[in-house]
Amino acid sequence: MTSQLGASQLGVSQLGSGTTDGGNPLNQTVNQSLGLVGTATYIPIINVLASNRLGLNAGQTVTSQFVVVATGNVLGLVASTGYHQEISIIQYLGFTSRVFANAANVLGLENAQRVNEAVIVSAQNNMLTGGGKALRIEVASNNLGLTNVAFPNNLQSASNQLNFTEVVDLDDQAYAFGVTQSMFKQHVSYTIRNSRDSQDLKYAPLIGSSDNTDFPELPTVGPTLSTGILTLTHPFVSPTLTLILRNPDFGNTDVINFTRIDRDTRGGDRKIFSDPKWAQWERLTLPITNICTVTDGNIIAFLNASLGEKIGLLDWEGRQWKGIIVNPETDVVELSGGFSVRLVFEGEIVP
Amino acid sequence: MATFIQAPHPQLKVAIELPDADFSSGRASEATVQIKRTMLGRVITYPKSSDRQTLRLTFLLTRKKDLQLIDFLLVYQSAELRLELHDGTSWAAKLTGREVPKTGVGAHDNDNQLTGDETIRVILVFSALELT
Repeated sequence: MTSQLGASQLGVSQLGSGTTDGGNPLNQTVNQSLGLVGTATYIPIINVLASNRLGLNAGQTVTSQFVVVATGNVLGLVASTGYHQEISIIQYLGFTSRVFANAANVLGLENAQRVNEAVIVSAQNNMLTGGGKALRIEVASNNLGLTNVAFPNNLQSASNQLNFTEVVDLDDQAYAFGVTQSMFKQHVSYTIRNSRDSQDLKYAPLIGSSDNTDFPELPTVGPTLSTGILTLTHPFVSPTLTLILRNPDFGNTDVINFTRIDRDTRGGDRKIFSDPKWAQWERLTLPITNICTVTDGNIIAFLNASLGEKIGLLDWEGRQWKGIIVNPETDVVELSGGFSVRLVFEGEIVP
Repeated sequence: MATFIQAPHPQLKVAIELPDADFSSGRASEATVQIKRTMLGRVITYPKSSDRQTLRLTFLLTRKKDLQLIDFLLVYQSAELRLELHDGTSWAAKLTGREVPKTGVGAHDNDNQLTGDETIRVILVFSALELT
C-alpha cells in the first residue's frame, strides 16, 4: 500500500454544569491511532481537539484540567528519513457573567521522546521538557512556543503563571549550552571543556584602535612553526662550517632582554623609557645531551672557528636565528649515551 | 577566569589573554626601611613608603601563546600596562628588569587546561599600582 498523506482527526467536546459527583472529575478519555503498513512516504497527522465548558454556581470551586498525552511509537523502523512529532496546546481561560474570588490559568507541559532501537537522522520536538533521551539523534532541535492568556472580567484576584525549563544535555561536545529566555531578562551560560580553541591557549591578539602612534603595530598572526634539528652554521653569510646537533632537552630557557632606562622618582613613580630602535635580543640556553652524530672535537672546533662572530642557528621549530655563542668555554662531556654540551646563544630571529 | 594584559595604559589598544597565574606567584610592597642605631642603642628608622607593589607572576603557557607574548613584549615592554588579574584586581603596571625568563618545561598530556603541546613557564615581574 502506498500513501502520500495520512491524516486522522477526532474532535471531542465535554459540557458539565451544576453539581458534581462529590468532587470526582468529569473525565473524557480519547484514544486515537493511525496504523500504516507497507512502503509509504507519508506524513501522519493526528489531531485531537478537546474543550471544557463549565457552568458554576456561587461558592463553587472547580479545576478545569486538560491532560494530553501524545505518544508516537515507531515500530519496525529500518531506515527513516525523519520522524516528526508535534504537540501544540492552546489554553484559554475565559470568564463571563461571573465574579470569582481567585482564578488561575496554569499551563503545564511535559513531552517525553523515547526512541527504541531506531536510528533517527533528524528528530524535532515541540515543547521538550525533561523526559527521556533518544539513543542516536544526529540532528535534534527543540522549539517551544507558548501562549498563555487570561481574560479576567470582574476578578478580585487572578494568577496567570507560565513555567518552563529547558535542559540541553550534550555529551562529548566541546560546549554545553543552556538558554533561558523570559520577558524580562535573557542570559546564556556555557561551559568550555578541553577546547583547543580557548583564547588563552592560542595565538589570538586582541587589537583595537587608538590615536596613540608611539608604538608599532602588533602582528595579527603568529609565526609558522615546523620541525627541524638544531643546526649551527658559520659564518652567517655564505656558511662554510655546519654542525648538526640534537634538539635540546626540556628545561631549555629563553630570556628576552631589552635596552631601556629605568628610574624611580622621589615621588615614588617609576619611569621607564625605551626607544623602539634600541637593541632587543634573546638569550637561549640549550642543554643538549646524547649527541652521537658528531664528536666532542667537532663541537670544540666549531666553537673555536666561530669565536666572537655571528653564526646561524636553525632551531627545532624551523626558525632561523642570527647571533653569537657567548660561552665558547663550555664543557663538552662524554657520557654513556653520547656527548653532552650546554650552549648559550644570544641573537635575534631572522625575519 | 583569565589574566589580561592591556597596553598602552590608559589609551588601551591591544590586549593579550593569559591563563591564570600559577601558585607560587606573589606580590610585595615596594616600601623600604633603613635602620640606624646610635652608639647608645637608640634606633632611628628611615622609612620610604610606596603605594606600588611588585607583582611576580608565573604563567604556564602553550608555545603559541608564548610566541604571542614575545611579540607583545617586544613592542610594549616599556609602556605602562593595565593588568586584570584572576582575583578581579586591576593594576597600572610596568614591566621591571631587563629580562623575561622563560623555561620550556615539556609536554603535558591529559591536562585539563593545556592541549598536550610543549609548555613554557614564564615569569613576569611588574611594578604596579592598584587601580580602584
